[in-house]
Amino acid sequence: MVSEPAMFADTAPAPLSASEAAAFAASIAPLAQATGWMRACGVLNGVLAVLLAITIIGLPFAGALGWVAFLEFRAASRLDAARRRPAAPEGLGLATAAVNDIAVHYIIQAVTTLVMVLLFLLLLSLIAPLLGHGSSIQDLLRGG
Amino acid sequence: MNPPSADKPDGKLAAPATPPAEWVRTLAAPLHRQRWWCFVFAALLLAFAVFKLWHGSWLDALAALAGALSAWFLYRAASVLSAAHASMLPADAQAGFAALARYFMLAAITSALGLLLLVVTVFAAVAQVAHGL
Repeated sequence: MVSEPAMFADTAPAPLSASEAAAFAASIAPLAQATGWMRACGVLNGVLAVLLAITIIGLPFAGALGWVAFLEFRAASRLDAARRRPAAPEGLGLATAAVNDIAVHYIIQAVTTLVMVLLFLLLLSLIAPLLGHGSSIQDLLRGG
Repeated sequence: MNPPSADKPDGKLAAPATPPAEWVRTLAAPLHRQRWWCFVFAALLLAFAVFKLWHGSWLDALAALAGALSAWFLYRAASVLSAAHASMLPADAQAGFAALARYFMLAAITSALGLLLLVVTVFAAVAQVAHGL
């Protein structure tokens, strides 16, 4: 299981030396500069979650995508805060919590996508014979 | 990345690379632990890209290209950060986070194209129904 982000802040090591803090700031810089893209992903996942929620059947997936969007926003905020305070323990704790948010968001996205693909294939295998395409999913995917 | 000790006042040359540090392991640990989920998601993104490419329009092909590239950067980010967890080198962590940043950029572009495709498909379907009436 993934630990709670708070755990990282609680167990953060002793403050880093000036040179280590500078190396830490340089290491997280590429990701900390991409928080705008992370928030853009959050907004787009949020929009997709609303669209899925409208279909009612997609409500569980909408919940998962909403959670993903929330995690992306939280990770972006934590990275921004870590960039402002690179000296440990706050900076390292915040950045590690942000990386944890990103890891959890991949688990949710992978599981949700796997379930969606399996449901999609199941649905196709059920409706293929009804549409007169035999039982071939390949035919249906090709458009008959 | 410039090593932090590059401008030492005593005039000595700086070390060529920042030495391994325990904080790199702490920072890379979450993605190192969940790297297999990242690989699974990257494989799914790649499968979707292939499906989109097979499907048709130029907009699909563009979305497929962005999707395939984002899958590559996600795979690279997870594997490089996993290596950083072992090596504890700040340079490895920086390379992993740079790949992750590129993933987020391409993921945003893929999602935007996906939503655009959805809107185009819905409008085309509505127009077809209206024409039929």
